Amino acid sequence: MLTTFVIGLREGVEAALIVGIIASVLRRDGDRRAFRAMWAGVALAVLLCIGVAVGLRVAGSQLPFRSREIMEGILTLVAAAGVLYMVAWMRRHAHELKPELEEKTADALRDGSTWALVGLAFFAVIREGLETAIFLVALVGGTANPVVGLTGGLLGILTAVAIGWGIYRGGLRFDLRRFFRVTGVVLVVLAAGLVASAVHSFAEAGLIGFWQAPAVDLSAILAPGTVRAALLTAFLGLQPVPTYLELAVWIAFLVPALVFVLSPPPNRPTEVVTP
Amino acid sequence: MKRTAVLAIAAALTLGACSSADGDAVPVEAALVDYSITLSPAEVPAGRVSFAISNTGDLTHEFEVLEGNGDSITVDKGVADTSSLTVIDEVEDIIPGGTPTLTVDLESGVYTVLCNLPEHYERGMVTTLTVTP
Repeated sequence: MLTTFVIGLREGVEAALIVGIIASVLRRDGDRRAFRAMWAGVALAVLLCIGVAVGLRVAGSQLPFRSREIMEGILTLVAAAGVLYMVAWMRRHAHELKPELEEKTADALRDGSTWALVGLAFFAVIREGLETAIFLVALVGGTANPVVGLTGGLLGILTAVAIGWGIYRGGLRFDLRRFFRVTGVVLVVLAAGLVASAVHSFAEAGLIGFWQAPAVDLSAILAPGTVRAALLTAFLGLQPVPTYLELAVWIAFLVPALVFVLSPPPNRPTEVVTP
Repeated sequence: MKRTAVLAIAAALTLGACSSADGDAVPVEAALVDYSITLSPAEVPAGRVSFAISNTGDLTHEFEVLEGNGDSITVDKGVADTSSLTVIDEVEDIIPGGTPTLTVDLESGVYTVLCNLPEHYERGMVTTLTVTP
């Protein structure tokens, strides 16, 4: 039960973080339609994941290893790009989203960029959800004790959802500038991990072959099967024993991204107030 | 020209049929415990092989099938460096009590089967599968 709980938590946390942050942004944005569309997108993504997982199970087929890893790598890179876009978007719009300005800015924000966030929420769920759904569906008839395993997995996902909900409430309550600063850091760490995971997938598929020696043994902290490891692995995106290439890419991505997020946002032009 | 096209379509159909039919696969039981892997039989004819994996250990394991013998594998920081071998396929996150199946197409040769979670390989989770022509 704990094993599947940990896997559900690990797989769900990343999508929950992204959706939670987007939900609070759209809510403050005041665009009700986009907010509702986001939830519809998330629901559709969940249903699609379950449908595909059940379909694959019924067909008794699986994607060949190489194409599976390459597809995973590409999806992960797209997700990283989406998360980066989101960070840049939040940085640019932070000052427009102050609660007292909510009504006035709603119109200005009702453009394509809001809908890109809706799309990202959908994509984040699809990316994580597909793998999780395939894993959970495989438990049925694929374990000695399917009910216990499934319950654990679903509880893990629910815990992830609760974390996302907490983020959403936090985003509504706290000062947005600070909220974006903190979530911005969380998101770029997440994006760095995504890029490192993509490198891992491409290496598994045999597309990348250099710097593949293990760089450092983190398995003491990231021991598979514990709640702490699940949260850290989901958040940092690092393997228990990352290769030199994965570590190098992770650092090379993270450092400039952190500098970008932590540097003060561009000054907005001073408004001329006419009486 | 026309004939080539017909042949290509026929070939594609045959290949498609091959990769979707599971009935003629040779079954191999793969028993995972902490920390060993046992295949029975450990020698199969070339073609489609279906591993019925069963994890009766207390830990989560994985099941990797690699082409080539494992003599060249070295261990660094608890994980096996398998870069000299080609990964055929793998199943990750096999929980205790888990019984997934993995079906692969294997040509004749020697294959290494292992679990590469940190320290699992060096503790003995590796074995060999021989595929005869």
